[in-house]
Amino acid sequence: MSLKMKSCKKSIFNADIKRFWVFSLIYGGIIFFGTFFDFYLDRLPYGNAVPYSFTSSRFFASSCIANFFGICAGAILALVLFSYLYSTSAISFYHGLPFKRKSIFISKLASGAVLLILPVLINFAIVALTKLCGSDIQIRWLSLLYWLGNQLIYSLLAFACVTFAVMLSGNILSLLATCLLLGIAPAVIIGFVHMTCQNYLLGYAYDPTSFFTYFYITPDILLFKLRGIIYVAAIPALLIIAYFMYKKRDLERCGEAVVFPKAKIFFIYFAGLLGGIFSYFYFSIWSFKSLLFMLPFGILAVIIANMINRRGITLKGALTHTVIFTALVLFMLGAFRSDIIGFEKRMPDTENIASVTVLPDRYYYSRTKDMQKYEITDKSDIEKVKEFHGHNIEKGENDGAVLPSSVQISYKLENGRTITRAYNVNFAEEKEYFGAIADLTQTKMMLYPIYNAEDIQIKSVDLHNFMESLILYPDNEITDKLIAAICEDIKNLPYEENAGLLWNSMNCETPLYADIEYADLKKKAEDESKDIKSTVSESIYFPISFGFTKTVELLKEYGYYDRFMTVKNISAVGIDKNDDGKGGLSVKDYNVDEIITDPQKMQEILDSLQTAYRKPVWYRDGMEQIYDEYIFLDKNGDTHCFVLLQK
Amino acid sequence: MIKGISVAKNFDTIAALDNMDIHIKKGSVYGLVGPNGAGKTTFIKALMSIYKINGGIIEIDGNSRIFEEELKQRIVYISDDLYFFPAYSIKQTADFYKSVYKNWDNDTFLKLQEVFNIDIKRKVRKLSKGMKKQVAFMMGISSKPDIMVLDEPVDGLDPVMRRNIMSIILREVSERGMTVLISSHNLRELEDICDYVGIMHGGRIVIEKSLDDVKGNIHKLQVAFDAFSPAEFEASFEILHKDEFGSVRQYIVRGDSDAIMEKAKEFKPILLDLLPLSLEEVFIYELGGMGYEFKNEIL
Repeated sequence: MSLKMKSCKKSIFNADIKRFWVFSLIYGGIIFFGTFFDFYLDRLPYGNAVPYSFTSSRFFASSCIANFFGICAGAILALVLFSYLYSTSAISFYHGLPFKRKSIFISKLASGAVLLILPVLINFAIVALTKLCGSDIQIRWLSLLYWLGNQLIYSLLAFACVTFAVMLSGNILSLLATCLLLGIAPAVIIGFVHMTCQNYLLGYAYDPTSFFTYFYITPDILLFKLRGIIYVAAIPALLIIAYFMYKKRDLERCGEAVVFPKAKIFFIYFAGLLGGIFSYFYFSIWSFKSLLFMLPFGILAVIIANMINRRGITLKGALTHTVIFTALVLFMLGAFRSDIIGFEKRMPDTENIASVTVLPDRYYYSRTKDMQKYEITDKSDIEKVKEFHGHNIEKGENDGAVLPSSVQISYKLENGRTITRAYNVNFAEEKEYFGAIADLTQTKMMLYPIYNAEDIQIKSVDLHNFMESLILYPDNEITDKLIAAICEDIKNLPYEENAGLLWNSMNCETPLYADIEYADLKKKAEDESKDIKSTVSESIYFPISFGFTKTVELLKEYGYYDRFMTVKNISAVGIDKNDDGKGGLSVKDYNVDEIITDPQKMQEILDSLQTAYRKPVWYRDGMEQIYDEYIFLDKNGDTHCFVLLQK
Repeated sequence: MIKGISVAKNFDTIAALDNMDIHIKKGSVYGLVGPNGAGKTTFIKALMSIYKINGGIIEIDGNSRIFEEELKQRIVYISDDLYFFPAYSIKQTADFYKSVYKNWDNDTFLKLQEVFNIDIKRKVRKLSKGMKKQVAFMMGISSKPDIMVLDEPVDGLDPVMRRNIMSIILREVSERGMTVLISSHNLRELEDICDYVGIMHGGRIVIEKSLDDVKGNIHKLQVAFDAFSPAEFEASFEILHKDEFGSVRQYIVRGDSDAIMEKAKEFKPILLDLLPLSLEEVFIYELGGMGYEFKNEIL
């Protein structure tokens, strides 16, 4: 190949650089002034006075903005470099030159890459040189490197995505529509799949807090995290696909919505799918959750897509596509309703199960922690879980009744796979099947993290009620005994108290509460530089409910019970039966039915609130919640209320 | 030099090129003419490998890989719908072409600048349509191609500039043996420059001959008779078209001129003239015989 032949490819590259260097300059300027400049300004008035954590947060926020501009830059550059494919005269010009399509494409990619990467590298170099010259500019090296990686990834990814979309579309409008559809499609389709599975498949477990799935752009993409790897891999993948599309593209189809004839059909049904999903979401707001509600806007989208393909207002061909689309929706509906893949009834065999975790919804946050300690491995215990699981399958959908809680069952199989199911439950009515599970150590550990915990160190125990509070530290002789008594009580708590805690039943509330702060020694071991006091603490907060008999005995033995559970500072107790405020008497601002001033009777009331057994009740929709309200008036004139649910 | 054998190109269900055969000799000026929608631009774009053909072969000097960069180095294409890099000046455009075409001749470019009298520092986008055409020619001719493909080359040019350009093209043909393929509706201009003519209709070449042969095979016969039925006369010739102007009849006939004259004399007309046709008239009457005819309609 002669030197001049090489120059052919250089010609386009150089021409693009000459034409668009200003764009690159502006992009670099935006990055610098938007991300780094104020850090340079900071050095003048503050020096090192600004806390590092603050500047890290600020840099993080600036990086997000820079990432956004990187995406815009990548998208716009791809458009301007490849928009010649939308003009017949430009097509004739480029392809009339002595270049193969491959040469044109690669030259454009090269110029695009240089125009995008160079401003980022220059910014990086400026900041890096500043730091190397001994400046105290408060951007950490790691943060700077992360910024560099993120900026390059997002800008090149946007470039690749738009290049791909350009190869698929024939005009600017269809390009914008393609970018929009492809951009939102993953989130929309994922959301649709989850929503449909939730609506139709009993036991489908979906974590509603995993919004991360829907956020394509997260500033902390790390190159070695899965999402970062996918994004990095997507860049060459999209460009390679775009190249092959360019090779195959019929240039005479410039101006059409979709340039590949076979893709036109796909375009129609893809538009129909997204329109149908939007329709499904829309009608779900009004509680119409059948897949049939995909049809209204889905069919409309099919008709419009057909018109776009035919480049005119016409219904020709629309009927066939409408019928096919409707048939597909009906098939999907049938597949879900019949549970064609046997999802609902699937339960693994016990011998294939390595462990199972049972996670009530209140404890979903636990899934981010070390779940291993909650794993049930004993085969007989696994059978109990399976029995509960089977019971929920039998129970079915509860005729649409709303239940207060849910529980997630996750089987970890011997082959490494995980099977997860979630069911709505009313723990108050599940004693027969869930009782055995609630008694398991793993469940109690979940409800009370200090129970059976091996690697924790108690930092403080805060006992309090509406009248008093007391903090006990490890150096106090009662602390260890108190913890032991609490654990002993937890071990023997009846189902009703566990169940009440599972959904935070008000009837489990008692006047006396414990707030135990502890340190996880495992986490401390991971960071040897921290002493116990500086280790991040965790805490558990729970009522010393009526089953904590040993705890109450210990508190009485040491005289602490009287500090909390005494009426010596109480002048009166008002009782508002049914909490209707219609009593003829009043305690300060409260209308009550009865006022007790006798100290002995007041003490009896207080003791009964603490120790009397009360079955936790969940009030279904429509059931009237009946309360008795106890108003304690202390000698300072302040009132303290305690509410007691009745059935 | 350029050969097309059974070339086919479809746009969905429309056959734009329908088994088209074409033969363009080296060093010739080939005029590709035809009605609107005949497929002229489609063939040109297929030749330039802008369009992919659906059947047949197009060869340049026996090489069917017409998309190869080395082969395309020898061809310059000036489209009827011109495109230049926005914001580029003529000089910058020339620099671009210089970097693309290895045979670029800067002296030629500078000479052409004088001929066309355009300031090369001007931005191309600010030029008129005709001036842009001139710039396109400057670039094309300075690139010193072996083959020049022109689609409506003189559209938008004033008569003087047309002459200039045509003479420049002819000089390149005679000096360097450049081959030229011109597609145009301006048959009067083509008549002055073309050696060969290919008339397209319905996606194929229906007549492909040297200009002399095309014009030599069709004539205007003017006759007048005092008595006898024209039907006998008309049956003796292959008549493509006839007109009556009083007693004078005008026939467009196909055939050898000597044979036509000899035959006509047998009928002892009182008036007999055999006139040559212009290329435009040949085009009109040949295609009229194929169903694409002038209709003297009054709306």
